[in-house]
Amino acid sequence: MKKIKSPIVVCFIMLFFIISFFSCESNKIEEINIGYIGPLSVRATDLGIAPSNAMILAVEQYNANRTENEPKVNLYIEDDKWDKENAIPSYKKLREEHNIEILFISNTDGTVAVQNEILKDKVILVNPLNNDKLLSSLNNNTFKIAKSTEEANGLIGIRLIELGHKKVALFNYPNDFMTRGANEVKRILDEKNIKIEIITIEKENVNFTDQLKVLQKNNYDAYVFFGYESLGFAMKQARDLGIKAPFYGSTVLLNPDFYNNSEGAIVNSEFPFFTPADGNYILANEFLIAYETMFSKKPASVWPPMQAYDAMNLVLSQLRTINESKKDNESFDDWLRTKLYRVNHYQGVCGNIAIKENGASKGIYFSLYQYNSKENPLIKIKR
Amino acid sequence: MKISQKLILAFSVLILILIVEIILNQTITNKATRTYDTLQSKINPVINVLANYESINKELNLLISNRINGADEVDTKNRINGIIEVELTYLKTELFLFKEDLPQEDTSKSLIEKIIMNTDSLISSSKSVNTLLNSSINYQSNLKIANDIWENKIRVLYLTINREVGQLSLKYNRSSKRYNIELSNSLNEISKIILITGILGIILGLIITFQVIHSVSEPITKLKNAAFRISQGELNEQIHIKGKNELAELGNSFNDMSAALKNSFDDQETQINQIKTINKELEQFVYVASHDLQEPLRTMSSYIGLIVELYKDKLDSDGIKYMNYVEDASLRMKTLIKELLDYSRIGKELKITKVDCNKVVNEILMDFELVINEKNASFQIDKLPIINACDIELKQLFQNLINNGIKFNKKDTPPQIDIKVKEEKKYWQFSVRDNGIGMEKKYFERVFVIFQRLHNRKDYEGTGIGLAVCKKIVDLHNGEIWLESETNKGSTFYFTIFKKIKKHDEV
Repeated sequence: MKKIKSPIVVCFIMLFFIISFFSCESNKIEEINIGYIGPLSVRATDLGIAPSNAMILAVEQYNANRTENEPKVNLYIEDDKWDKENAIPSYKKLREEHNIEILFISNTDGTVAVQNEILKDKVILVNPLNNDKLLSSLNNNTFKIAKSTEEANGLIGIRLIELGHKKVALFNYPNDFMTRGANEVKRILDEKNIKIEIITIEKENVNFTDQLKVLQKNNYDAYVFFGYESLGFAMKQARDLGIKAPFYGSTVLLNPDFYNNSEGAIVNSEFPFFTPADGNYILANEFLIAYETMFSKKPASVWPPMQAYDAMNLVLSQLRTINESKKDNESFDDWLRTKLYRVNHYQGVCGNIAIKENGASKGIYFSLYQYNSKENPLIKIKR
Repeated sequence: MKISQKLILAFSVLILILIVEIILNQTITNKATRTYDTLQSKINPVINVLANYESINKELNLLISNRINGADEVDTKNRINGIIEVELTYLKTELFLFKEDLPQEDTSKSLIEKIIMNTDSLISSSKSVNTLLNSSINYQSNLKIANDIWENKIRVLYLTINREVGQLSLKYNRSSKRYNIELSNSLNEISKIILITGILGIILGLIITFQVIHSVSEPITKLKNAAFRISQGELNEQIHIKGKNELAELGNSFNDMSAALKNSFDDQETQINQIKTINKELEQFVYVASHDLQEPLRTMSSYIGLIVELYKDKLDSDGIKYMNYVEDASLRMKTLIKELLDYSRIGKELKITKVDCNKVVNEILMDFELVINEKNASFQIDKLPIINACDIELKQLFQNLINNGIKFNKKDTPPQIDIKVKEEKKYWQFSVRDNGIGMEKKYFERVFVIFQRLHNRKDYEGTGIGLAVCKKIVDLHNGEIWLESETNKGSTFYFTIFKKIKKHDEV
């Protein structure tokens, strides 16, 4: 028996050493969970469904092409119904159920709402749709990989001046993004002493006839609709009242419900938008083909998924190197924050992107488009 | 030099060549790798950045010029923003990082610093122009200021950066060319080393092969041929292998072995010759003795006859009885001497001819007619072949065997003799079977020895020479003779005669 026992003991000792040796790599990160909170129902779904699909596509492409040393990424999605009140519950659910370490969120108000939570949990937050001055003033764990809200909406202000409008009525949906856009337009028009009336609407309101009658009576020569699909009713109601003044909108006019609610009154409206021609045309087209292949449909509005795709891929390009560059004593958020701050030239579908010192991206620039028709809604405005 | 030493030396040289090749290859490959790394990490990226720099600088200058001249489309503004905020900042940062890697004494360092500084100014000026033109307040005066900035600052900076970038590009392009030539030379050197060492290896391989063939194959062939000749009986064969290697030693041992073999064969031959001589002398002695003894024996027999005839009245009964004994003995002696003489004559003069065995056997049966009838013997005889043999001796052989079959019959049992033949590939096998008294197995060999008798003379007459004669005749035909027998059941004698015994040849 002694003869038999000895080799067994030796084998166990060797096994122990082998296991110990390989367990030296126990710090290797195998999986990272990412959460996304966006509007998948109720309103502004073009800012939630297509971006979530784009992020799913990015994660799938990453997982399919990653090497053994690169961590697997899991994406979990929650619907906030485009309401900031849902941001914290959705975030807590993602943290508790999936222990997410990175959060993507579309809604600016929601981004503000979860600030304390993400800082407490050492979670990195990325807003893949909006990038404004308020967001840039938040904590260091918040990044904005998107167009500048002020710049994009400011284009309307410049256009109003260019076309010589004197009295502008602006319907403003009460959230941070639209309010910032409205304020930027007001700032630009104020410089030229052009009168602007900002009408803050109620979120659930669909009847704007009374306000429109007043504006019509006061001869406003331009109507700006900075809000979501409910303002499509306002457009229809304005035309029904005989208002012939041109319409302007924000970046979300391509939501099909906007057209449906306006019953075609939306046609000829001008609005800031972003298409593949405004970014990296080749990469953007590749992305749209992959998107259509995977989800069997095209996104109604291309810029939200394009930005979300770039934001996710930019983060994934950093995560890819985590097992090579992250020190054992370094926390995940410290590591990723530092990495993201160092991004000075990321070639994405929206163009070449860099991250500024305040965590906001630069390099995505919107242009001005006109709503042509339901089938072919986009015509780039060239003066 | 020994073969093993030669092989070790040859392979050592071969390994040495390989080691030299590996060392040289490694050294040059390392050098080439360093050159390639430098090209890839320090030269080509800078060249790419500078190329981008040049193009972005030109594009920015053009876009700002367009803006000042009224092109204020959103696309133009966006592109200017992209260049100022992302492209130039990125290129500037890249150049800064390259600069940090350069040694202090590198003249490019100051040039890069100038480019970075001028780029900062360019970005700042461009931003100023952009801001001025974006503002709608006092647009005309802003436009004038912007124009001044463009003409006096941006254009100057554009030209300066363009020139500095051009200088740096030229320098790095030269470096790239130099490193590429160095890389190409290294690869050429590696190629040459591989070629030279390869050729040397092939030559050495050929030399080793030739040496192996010369040192091993040739002596082995010699040994093989010599062994073959020895096997053919050429025991004087000696081989000569040059050198002092293992095969030369083997050759010497082979020569010793063949010499020893020859001596052994010579000794054996001498002994055989001696035996043959003695045998011949013995045969001669037997012949002479039996021949010469006949004469005195005849004289003795004659005088015994005369004595018995002349003195039969004077001799008493005992005397007559004794004289009869003497006469009987002399007769037996006469028979014995005659048969001994016949035995010794066998093989003296033998001629091979075509012999019809049927005829031979029939003649014998005719000769034995009286005794056959007397003993009521019967025969069963196969159809026998015509064979090559000595006719008289073959008849003697059959005669002795048939005679034995008749003679050694059982009392009250008439002899039955069967003569059969079986054809084999190379010989005929005859058998003569009787139903006589047979014999025990222990006598199977003894019966073929001369003068060996198994029975009392009173029971069965004979001298004990018959089967010895049979054996001698079969031996003369290079055949074999043997028997199968069982007491009281009979005996079967077998003998073989080879088919290929040439006619008229002496056996």
